[in-house]
Amino acid sequence: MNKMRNKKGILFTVTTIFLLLAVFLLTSAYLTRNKELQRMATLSLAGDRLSYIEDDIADNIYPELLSLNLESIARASDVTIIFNHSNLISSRDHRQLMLDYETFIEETYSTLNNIDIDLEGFNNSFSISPYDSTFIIDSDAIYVYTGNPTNISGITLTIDVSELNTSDGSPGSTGSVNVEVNINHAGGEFSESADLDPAVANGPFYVEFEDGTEVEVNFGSYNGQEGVLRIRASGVRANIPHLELRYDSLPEGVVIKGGNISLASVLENITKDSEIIIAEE
Amino acid sequence: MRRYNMLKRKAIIFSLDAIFAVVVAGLMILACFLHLSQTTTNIHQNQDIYKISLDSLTILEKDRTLKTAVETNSAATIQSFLDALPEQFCGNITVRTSAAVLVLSAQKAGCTEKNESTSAVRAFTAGNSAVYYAGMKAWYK
Repeated sequence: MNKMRNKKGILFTVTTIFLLLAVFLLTSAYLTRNKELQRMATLSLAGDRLSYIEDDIADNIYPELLSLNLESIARASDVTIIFNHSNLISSRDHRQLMLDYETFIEETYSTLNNIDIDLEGFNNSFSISPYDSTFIIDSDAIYVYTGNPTNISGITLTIDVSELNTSDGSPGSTGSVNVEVNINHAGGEFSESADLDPAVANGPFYVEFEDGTEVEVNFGSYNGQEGVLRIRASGVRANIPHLELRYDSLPEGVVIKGGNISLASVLENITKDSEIIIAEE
Repeated sequence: MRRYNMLKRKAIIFSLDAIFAVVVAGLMILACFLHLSQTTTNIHQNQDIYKISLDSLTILEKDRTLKTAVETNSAATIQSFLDALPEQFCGNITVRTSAAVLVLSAQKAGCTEKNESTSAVRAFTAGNSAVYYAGMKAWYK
């Protein structure tokens, strides 16, 4: 009888120890899982934070600082890209505006977010691929360089100024790229077009105003490079409500790119490098 | 007498055994509690509130509220946004120039700032392309 009781006692003790051990292991597993979930949540938040910062830095910053908006990219027989620009004036230093923003982001903003930020190639220019065009806005002038100018099929410009005109002029046709320039001024409208050769240093489309200021548009060879479009507002404020570039249709989609962003979070040991895509087809 | 002594010895042995069992059981239960006490939900709460801050600043920037507030020198629309946040959620927003000079600030009505808060930052441009940033601190009521 006693032996039976002893056996039952041992069985009871062993069962209890196993149950307690099971509870202990369960809590231990729960703790491990909880820590893993916390780690994943932290990493997920870190990823979200980098995406947020990237969006904050890059989204719409080129249009804001360069006063340039993309209106449309359309594909038919040609690819047509239309921009508008306001405030083409010598007192607005686009290069400095971009530099100031870059400095703010790499120093103050970087410190506030406890993250290393590097902006590369972030300046007053951007590229249009696949046409290898570089668009530069520099105070009172806009330059569009194109690596292969034979891809350019036409250019149409509308420029608004509020001064009164005194004289104007336009180049004679030399080639096959149709350039149409409309300049609205206090005395009326200047509207001319010419078929120009991108390899030739063509004369300008220009309107001069009473105080000696002028608006000038050139297309052709410039500083040894062919197919350069130049728009300059010398001494006047010009708005360009319509800047249309037409290219031969290529199979690749149009991508308008700025500089690059590099983000590195030392705390979470995560890095993110990306291009600033201003727009894409 | 001999039988009494025998019983007494057995009782002592039984008591030691029971005490040992209780101690072991107690230690194991204590270990379980210690493990469970190490888990926390605070991190999720802080993450939630941080994400709400990021979303709030994104909305205020994208709908041009921050830009308009600087250009009109009025934090009224930011104040309205904060006041419309859920009741349990508190926050304040300060707008500074790129040189950290305070321009505007607003805090949700009925909230007092707590030490345990999260903070988020958003940069934007206003006026003649001048750079500003908005900082949002958020905490649970």
